[in-house]
Amino acid sequence: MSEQPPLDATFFAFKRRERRFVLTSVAIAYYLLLLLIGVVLVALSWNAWNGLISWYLGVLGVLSSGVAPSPPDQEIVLALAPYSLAFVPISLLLFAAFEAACLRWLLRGEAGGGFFGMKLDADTWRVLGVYGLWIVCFVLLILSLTVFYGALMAFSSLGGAARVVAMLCGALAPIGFLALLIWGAVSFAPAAATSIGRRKFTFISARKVSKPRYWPLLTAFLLVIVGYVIVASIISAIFQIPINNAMAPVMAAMMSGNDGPHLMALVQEAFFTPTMLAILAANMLVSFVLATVYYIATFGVNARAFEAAAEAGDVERG
Amino acid sequence: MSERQALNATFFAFKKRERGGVLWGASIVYAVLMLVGFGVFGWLNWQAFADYAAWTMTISQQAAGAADPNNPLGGVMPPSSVMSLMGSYSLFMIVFYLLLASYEAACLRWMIRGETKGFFGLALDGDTLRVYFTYWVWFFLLIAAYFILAIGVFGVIAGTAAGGQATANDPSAMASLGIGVIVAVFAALLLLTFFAVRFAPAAATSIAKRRFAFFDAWTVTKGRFWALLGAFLLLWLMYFVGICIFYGVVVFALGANMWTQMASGAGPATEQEALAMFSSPSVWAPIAVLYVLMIVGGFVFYIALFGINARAAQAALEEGKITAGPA
Repeated sequence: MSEQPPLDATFFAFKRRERRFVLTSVAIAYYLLLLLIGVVLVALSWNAWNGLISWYLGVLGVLSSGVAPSPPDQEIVLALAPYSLAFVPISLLLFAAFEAACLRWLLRGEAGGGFFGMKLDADTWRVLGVYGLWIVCFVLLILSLTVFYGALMAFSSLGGAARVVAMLCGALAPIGFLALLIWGAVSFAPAAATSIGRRKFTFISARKVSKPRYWPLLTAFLLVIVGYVIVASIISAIFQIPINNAMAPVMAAMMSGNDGPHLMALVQEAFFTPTMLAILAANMLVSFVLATVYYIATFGVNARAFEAAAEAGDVERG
Repeated sequence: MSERQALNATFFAFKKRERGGVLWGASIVYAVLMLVGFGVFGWLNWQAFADYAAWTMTISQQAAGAADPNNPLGGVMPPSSVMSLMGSYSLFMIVFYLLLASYEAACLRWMIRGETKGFFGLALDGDTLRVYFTYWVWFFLLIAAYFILAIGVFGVIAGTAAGGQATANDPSAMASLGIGVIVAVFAALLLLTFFAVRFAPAAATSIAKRRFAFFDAWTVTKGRFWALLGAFLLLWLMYFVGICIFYGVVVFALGANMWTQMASGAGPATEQEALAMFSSPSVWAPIAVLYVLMIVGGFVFYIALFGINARAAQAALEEGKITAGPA
């Protein structure tokens, strides 16, 4: 692990550029579209949600009386399933459009077009393709783990020394898999950025970007993750003070065996006040802002890695 | 790259430098700020502490009596003020570690770069944030280490059970399971020690390079593992001996007097008499002095630890293994 030149990737996304608020407007557009899709899906499945909420309120009352709660009706779950399943690819496509818009600005200085920069164009499909490959890689990893442990079991059943070898392999393999996971995640992290930078779908070529700058890249990701955790902990601690304060009487009533309607009345009394609603809304807003800063920072790290690779001649710009 | 030099790291922190008292100044200011921090935290949450004490008394009284069959869990939940304490405690911990990072950064800055800044060396600057981030990375690595150890032990158990023979009726399977667990734990401890030493100068490396460089500690410690391990072991040994001497003195200074009283039958007969005996200056004054000495000893130990890491980073800078960033 020799010393590598500094990458200066951690805050690359937030570097001052010729136009301001491009990433902010893309992020706002992303959340507006996500909200719209969420509202449409909830409206379409409102009857099922109604049933689920009624069941949950019933469970609250049953729990306090010490009786085991019943599972929700299968019909409710089945009615919700198609909407939940539909939400996954739609939200992935939306996130791909968001990442593509950010990377387009960070790497090529292109902004605007579509809905505040969010477009259903070739860049978005490239990024979605990269997500697809990530999912395939993850499934392959799970499958290889299953096959590996299956083979290990068969080997161990031979008995004698084979059992000891199987034990050691069984103990060390998860460490190896974890190391592989981290290596793979860092090595191919700039895949989407490379695809946008080269204007063609690439996944394996991301290794050309990350290989010469593996440790600075890992350090930059660590800094972004640690920074996110620190700020999130501070925000959580600040909001915990009033929320826990309001929650205490509800929890005490729950422990004392109060029934569902009484608990709901207490919840209403504790949380449906202008101050608490403002606190909860602020908590949600701050969490969204923080998550967005985190996403954009990681896009920036990958974009900077591609920039450095292009400057060093490791890859060509499209 | 020049020839590798001897490390001589154990007492590096106490080497005579151009200015004296810098590390002591930073230590005293840090100790005072910590006391102020604890004081403010206690003052802000005084009501919560009082409520907590009242709540625990209620709980213990309830536990002593028969539980209400209609409401067995009544009173289990703490009052609102105690619930809110979690958030303020988390915030306090963030301030606590920021202050510690500022202190470590001040010591390392002085030992590696010969620089002081801020209030007696303590400043909320890039160096402090680098050290603070290093603590978080250590925290995550520790969680990862526990996780890896847990899955390692699970792997051993799974590996044995895989053969379908890990039953109480199969002594050989049980024996190999036991040996496997011991080997896994021992190997994990060795690995933890190895990585702890290799990455120990992570904060010092970041200060030396003037940028966050956790993983460059690997380069810093390359070829110096045994020298660093030796320095750490020597320091821990001295600390252990110091603690033994400290407790020996405490037992001798306080215990001998009380033991004589008790042996002669003049010991405290009631709780009030015992409390009165402990409130006597002849008893608490030596305790207070010894406690202050223990804190001073703790600071010396911490500074010596920083010194070992600082020396490793400084040697790496001198040998060209790492380069300092622009000021």
